[in-house]
Amino acid sequence: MISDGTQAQAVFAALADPTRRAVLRSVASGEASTATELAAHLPVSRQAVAKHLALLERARLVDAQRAGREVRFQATPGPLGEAIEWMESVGTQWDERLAALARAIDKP
Amino acid sequence: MDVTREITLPVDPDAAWEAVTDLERWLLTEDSSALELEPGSEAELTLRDGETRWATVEEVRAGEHLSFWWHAPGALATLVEVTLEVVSDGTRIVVVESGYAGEPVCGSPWAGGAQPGPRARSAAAATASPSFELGRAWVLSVADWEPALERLRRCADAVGV
Repeated sequence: MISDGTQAQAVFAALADPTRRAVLRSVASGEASTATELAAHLPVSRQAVAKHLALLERARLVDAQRAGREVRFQATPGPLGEAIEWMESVGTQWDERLAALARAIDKP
Repeated sequence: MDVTREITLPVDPDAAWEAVTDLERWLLTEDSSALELEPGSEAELTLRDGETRWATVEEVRAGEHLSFWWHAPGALATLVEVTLEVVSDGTRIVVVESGYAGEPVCGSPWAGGAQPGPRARSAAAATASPSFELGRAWVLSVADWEPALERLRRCADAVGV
């Protein structure tokens, strides 16, 4: 997961949209947990909220649970930590590449 | 989100540029395909750490700036910008890798459902054509990221996740 970054990139892509961040914040804070409740809180349609929730679910940032006719969402922050870890590994790779560049300069 | 790293080399910008653009000396393996440093040129690269990337050159300003989009098989495209700055003790090389928010749109064999095109770049940036600025706005700034993360952490603690 961490080595190829696919999951981390899904997290960043999911969080790149301001409305999606607002949806995630509302779910995480417990303000709202269904698409209908979220649409009441935010200036977007229920249909738009449902799309955002599907993307957040694919990035594993929320977990969906069916309760009767309703689907309730819960924030699952684990992938955020993994994404940060991956970003740090990308930085480490650049440190190593730049160190190689410095060595190349020393030994033309 | 973006990753920024820098190093200062004790040489003038001409020597630094020569080293930076000789990718086999620091970034690629000796048997990797070469990336011609012309806007729009593409190649499948083998990196020294064993990874494979499909890359497309975005911009080249001799002695100053080199940027390219790249992506690994199945992964999103990112923009790598290498900028040279003259400093008192030599030349500073600044690398920024950004754009973790778009599917690759390019001639890469790993671009998935994306239409083959002349240039690899992220879909976020491509939809923001003609300028990349909107595409960049997709990239989370650290300022956005930290408060959101902090709230999530607090929430996670509160509910015992």
